[in-house]
Amino acid sequence: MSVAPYRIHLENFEGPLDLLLHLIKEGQLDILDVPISLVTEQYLAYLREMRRLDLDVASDFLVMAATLLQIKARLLLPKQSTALAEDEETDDPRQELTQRLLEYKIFKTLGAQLGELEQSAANYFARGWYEPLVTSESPPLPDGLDLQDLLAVLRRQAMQRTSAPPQEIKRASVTVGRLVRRILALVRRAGREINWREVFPGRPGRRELVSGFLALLELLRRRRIAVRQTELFGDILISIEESERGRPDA
Amino acid sequence: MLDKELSPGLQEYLPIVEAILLAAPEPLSGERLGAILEVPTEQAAELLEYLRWQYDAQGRGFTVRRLAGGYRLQTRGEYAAYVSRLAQMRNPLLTTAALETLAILAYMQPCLRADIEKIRGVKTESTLRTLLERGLVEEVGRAEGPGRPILYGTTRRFLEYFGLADLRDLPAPPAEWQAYLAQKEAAPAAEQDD
Repeated sequence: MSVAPYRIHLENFEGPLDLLLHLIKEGQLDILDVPISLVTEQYLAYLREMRRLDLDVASDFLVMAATLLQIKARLLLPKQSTALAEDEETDDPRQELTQRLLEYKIFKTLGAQLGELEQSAANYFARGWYEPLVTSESPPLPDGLDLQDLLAVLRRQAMQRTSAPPQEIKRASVTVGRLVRRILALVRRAGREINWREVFPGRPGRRELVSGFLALLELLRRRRIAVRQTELFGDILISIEESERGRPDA
Repeated sequence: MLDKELSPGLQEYLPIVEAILLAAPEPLSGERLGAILEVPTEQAAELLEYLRWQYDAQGRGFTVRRLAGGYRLQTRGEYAAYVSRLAQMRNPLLTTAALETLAILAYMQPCLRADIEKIRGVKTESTLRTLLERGLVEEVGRAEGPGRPILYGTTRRFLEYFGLADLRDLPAPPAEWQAYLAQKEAAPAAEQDD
């Protein structure tokens, strides 16, 4: 028995569990013994209809579709011998889904009850209630000040800006390749072990640090440098690999 | 009609309590009132309860309601239709998603966003944000573990909003609740297998 398209009302389901509960209720199915094959078919029919009407299907719905299909597949497979993997649900692949459905059902009911409370509570008004309820709570201005004063101060502050002009956001001028060359050059020139911190004079941005670290890893991979640390989270010390010494700059 | 008795000496405080109740912008607790009047909390509570009884007995258009651990002077529900004409617009009622989220938080707090999403089966970030903005939900701490995710709980405004004196006044959960809790206790380990 498949679901004829005209029977699908696209109510606003709160999520895949809501839709499943609806299918179970409409089909008068037993939530503790859900016929997976039937429910999966109906569920997928709903998704298809949503797509057909060009509605956005939230990813959560798709995840559930996959879950249903997985359960269905497991039910179709012959029972595994107990010697194999200790699965959580060796008994019933539907068990986890059933638990989730029961759980959601409880809170769906409680949510509806809260909704009723909300409606009856909304009948009681306290003094001054008709002022906008969702206000942004800005503190009142002290006596003698008004908006104009504040604006004047702000304008003065803005004109006094002596700080450096906003920095440009540099795009990829710190490529990994560049840093590879920089690190190599530094180590070669120093003729000794250098500290990771020396790679970045000044205050490097996060992008630079990440690129730098990638450069370090690349050089390690190519066995052109060696690194060591004297302690956990200590400074990273970089030195040139023996085999690298005679090589030309690359 | 039976007359409720007020403890001796308290009669003179009644109009004062009335005045304070009228002026109070949020629920007034017995402690707070006691401090203002400089009387013991029990007497303050008695005064408030007496006023409540008196307004009911006199059929006044307003009543004293127990909300969020205190007392608040509010119009009677029966006259909501008229009172609401005072203003054009009201705060919209909460969405089903918001109500479900609140239900989970109210009964299971404190919760992680992940906990809520697991129960509802959908992403709950924007719903939570709305609830935070409306002051019905707040951060109550952080959980241990990677990322130290935020724990959420309901606020006092939540109690006021739903007309509850405190969390114990929440509607009784359905029959399956006990079995549900028992099963959760028994299998927390299974949930960590994500």
